[in-house]
Amino acid sequence: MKTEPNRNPPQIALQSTGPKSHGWLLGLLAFAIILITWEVLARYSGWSVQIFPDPITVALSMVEMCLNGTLLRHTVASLFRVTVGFYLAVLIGVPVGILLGRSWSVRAFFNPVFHFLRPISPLAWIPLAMLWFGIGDPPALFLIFLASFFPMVVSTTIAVQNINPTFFQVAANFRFSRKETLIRLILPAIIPDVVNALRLTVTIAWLVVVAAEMIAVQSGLGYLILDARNALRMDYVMNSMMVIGLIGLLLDYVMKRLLKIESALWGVKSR
Amino acid sequence: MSHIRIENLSKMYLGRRSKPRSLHDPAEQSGDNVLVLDDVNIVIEEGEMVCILGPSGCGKSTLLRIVAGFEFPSSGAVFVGNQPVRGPSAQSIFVFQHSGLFPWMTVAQNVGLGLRHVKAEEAKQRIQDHIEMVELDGFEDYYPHQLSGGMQRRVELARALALNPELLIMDEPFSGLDFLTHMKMREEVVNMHEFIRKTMVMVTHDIDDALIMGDRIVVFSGRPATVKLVHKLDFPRPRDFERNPELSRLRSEIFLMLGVPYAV
Repeated sequence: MKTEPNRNPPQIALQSTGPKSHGWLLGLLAFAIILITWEVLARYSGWSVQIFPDPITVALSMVEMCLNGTLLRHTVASLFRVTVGFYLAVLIGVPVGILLGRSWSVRAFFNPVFHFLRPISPLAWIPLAMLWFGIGDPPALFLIFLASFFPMVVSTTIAVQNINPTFFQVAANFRFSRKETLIRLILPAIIPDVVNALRLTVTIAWLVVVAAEMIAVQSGLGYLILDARNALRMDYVMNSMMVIGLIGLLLDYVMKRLLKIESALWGVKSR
Repeated sequence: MSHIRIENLSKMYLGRRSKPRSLHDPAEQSGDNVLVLDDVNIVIEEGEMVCILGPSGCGKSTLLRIVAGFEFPSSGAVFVGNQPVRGPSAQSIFVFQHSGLFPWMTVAQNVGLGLRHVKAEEAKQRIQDHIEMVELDGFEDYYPHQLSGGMQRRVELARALALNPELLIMDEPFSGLDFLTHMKMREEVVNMHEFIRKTMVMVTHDIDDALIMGDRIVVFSGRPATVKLVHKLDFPRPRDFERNPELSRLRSEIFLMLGVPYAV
């Protein structure tokens, strides 16, 4: 006799982790420890404020940068570039991924090239990007696009290939047209995987934008870091780094929220 | 009028394994073609419920998939309603062994899958009728993962029936269900068949299922599958092994045929 697979295995408390709602307090504690260590180091290491600024100096210049709008302006510039480059990569990468996932011959044709190009760091493209696209936004956008495009294509391809083949037979049985197969089967089937890929890829794009802005533009957080270094203002460098970290957290949080939309996930366990 | 004619059907697969599957069969060498179905001839009448039995891996499912148009015979032909099968058709709906429901669609959307070209009003009515038929009213907006295994199978049946196909092809429709759900589903399918009188072809490995449900049973031999026995079951329903010694005798015979000499 067969029994139904157990859908809800009993929850076993493997560890006593305490109340989970207080988890963020521990996280905050880690930051506090870093802050104290930083202060102690700054005070007793003997380094000058120019080389190793203490937390108070950094906080004061942070207030200054916020008030005069420098930080906001550069942050907006960076976010703009990431958004454009990332959107372009998603808009082109997902359809290409679907094509690759569905067609054996397209895959056989493109896959070797993609797998050859993928491990090349986008930063290696900097000289070419500057030569081809000159100075300004285009080379930076190109680099962000490159950094996000390949991961999106690869994830989408794998997602399409992982669709249960039974679904395609159901579609054939119910006489789905090509368009219906795409809209009612392939797209909804890959959404959970694609959203996951978006989350990973936006992090990569955010990493690359800083590097891209160090080369060809006059704005953005990457430029701010470079400019502050030239002016020997390490407090500005640290401020920029903090803002980069905070925005990275924020982007990840937004993508995580996307992962919680239930209708898009049709019961796939959130990872 | 006969509904399905399977004529001299053979199916070969290109053998991919490096070692022969069976040591007893030297012909089944690497790179050789593996014969799955060997000269199968079956005629199925309009409105008949035919249950196909056979050892596992013998090619029963392959036969169903050929009838459904998902695969093609290596030689021979299959005719459904006098037309040779050239590919999947909305007139012969396949009910899958493991859930073929689209997990991103609600129960109602799944049941409406075959009614995309029907006017909205009528489609809505037909979806509702068929959901009620499988007693799932109230679950219209649930997603498949929120339903139990038995409920999912019933949604799949409703989806197939909503399209009003001429032929229903079922590949082990009760596998993986718990015992009681299995019994209930079996009863429901029998009643439904009595009611709608559509042709149904069902593969099963459960001999009792076949004997209780079928108008006729077909028993296959092991690979390559050939038809070993075709038997018409003229027993009144509901059927009972204890009240029908003839049915009981047939059961023992089939058990023996499938390699179980002593059936409990």
